[in-house]
Amino acid sequence: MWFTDYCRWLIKHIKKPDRYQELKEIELLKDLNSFQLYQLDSYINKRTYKAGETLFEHDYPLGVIFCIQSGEVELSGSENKILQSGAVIGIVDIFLKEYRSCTAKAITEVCALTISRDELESLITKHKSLGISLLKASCRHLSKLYQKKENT
Amino acid sequence: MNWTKLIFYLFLACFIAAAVFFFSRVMSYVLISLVFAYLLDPPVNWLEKFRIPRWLAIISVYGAILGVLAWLSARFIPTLVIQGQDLLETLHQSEAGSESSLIGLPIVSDLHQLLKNLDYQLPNFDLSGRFIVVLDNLQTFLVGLPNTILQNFSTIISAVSYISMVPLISFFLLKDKTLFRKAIIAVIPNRYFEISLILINKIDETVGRYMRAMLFEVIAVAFMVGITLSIMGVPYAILIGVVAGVANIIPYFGPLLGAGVAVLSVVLNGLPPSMILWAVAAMYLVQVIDNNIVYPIVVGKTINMHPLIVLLTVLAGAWFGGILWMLLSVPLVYISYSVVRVLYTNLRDFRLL
Repeated sequence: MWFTDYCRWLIKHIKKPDRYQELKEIELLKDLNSFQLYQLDSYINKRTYKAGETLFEHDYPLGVIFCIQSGEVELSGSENKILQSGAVIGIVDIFLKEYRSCTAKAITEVCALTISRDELESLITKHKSLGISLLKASCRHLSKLYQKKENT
Repeated sequence: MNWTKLIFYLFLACFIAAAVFFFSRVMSYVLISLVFAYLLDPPVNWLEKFRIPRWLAIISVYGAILGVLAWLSARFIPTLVIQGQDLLETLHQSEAGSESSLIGLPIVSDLHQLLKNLDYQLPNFDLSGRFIVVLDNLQTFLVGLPNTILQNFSTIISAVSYISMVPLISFFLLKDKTLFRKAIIAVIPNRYFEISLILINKIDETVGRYMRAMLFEVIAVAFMVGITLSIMGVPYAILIGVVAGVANIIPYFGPLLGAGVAVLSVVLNGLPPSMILWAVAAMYLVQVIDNNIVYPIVVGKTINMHPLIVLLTVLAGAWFGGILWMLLSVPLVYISYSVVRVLYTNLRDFRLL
């Protein structure tokens, strides 16, 4: 009995924790391999916003994508909705628009992973396989959103 | 008034001031290492693409650079040293006050003869006498020129510590580049987060691209000048190539300096006047290739600085810190201007200005 407990303890300490567990929890990134996650991780920044704090305002330059890890964000402007954990703000507009079309405000405390447009473009240009993986993941994500909209 | 906050910020300001004072002497090491890191970042990133660990990629790049430097040293340094020594001997051949070495040059003696003939017709002006005085002053200046240049570069020549510390500091700057960036971004408040991220990326891209472009240009121009002048038979071709390559950092006027050195080399060695035209033609050809092929490909667009601003910058640099600052002032002003322009555009877009 003590032997199996000891083995479990040993495995727990020898086995390195998954450095990219946080990133894998995001729907868009869950199918990327560890090298692709390592490349992305170099450019991802984690930000925390207090309740009531503004993430960005209408007509600001669209420079950063936000992936909501936890909390709720209210979008107001051209579209009014509340986004929750797992939502990605700016993934489509980042390649289409120069400026934000709405204002985003944190309703509760929000943890978000962010990456800038320039860095994402640079990554995709240098690492084509990462670009393809992200494209596939984006199409899957948008297809799910579209189906959800159709069902409601 | 939040006294706790005030006292904390006061303490932080004192701490930062003390840190700046303590580390002030090593700032030059860090700045040079930063330039080195900027130059080596693309090849390291390229190697990392093939799943080579970053630390190994950096060491591989260092190894490649050492190999290239070793080859260059074996191939070109002996020739450069011989040409440098020959040039010093030529300049030191005559003693101060003697006109013999310069007046012996074909172009100069022809000019002296012309002035003597003019003196017969205009005796009161003593043109040939004044010409001899100018030659004496020029002789003194040329004899003292190598020492003047060496004195200005003495800090670089004697900085063995730079050669040992810069690669080591650059290694850590390259290896943990993303860690440093994340640490800096983490302390920025949310209000300024997005603009800071955009600014850091734009400045990084502008500065890095400019430095790499400058290095490539210096090497390309030095190489082309050395080859063309060697083919034309201009003496000290490789030495002139190195000088022209470094002088090319200064827009508009750097190429003129390079051409001037080539012409001086022809004149001092008593070659026929037609060789001056060939030397100038060679320098012009190199500049045409550089401006129309090398620079647009490497940088993408020319530096948008007015020649007057370049001239004033070079003069200000010369007054500030001699020859070294003459070379550094134009890139520094261009980078500062680019940073301020990016800062202004983004502060305006984010409604902070």
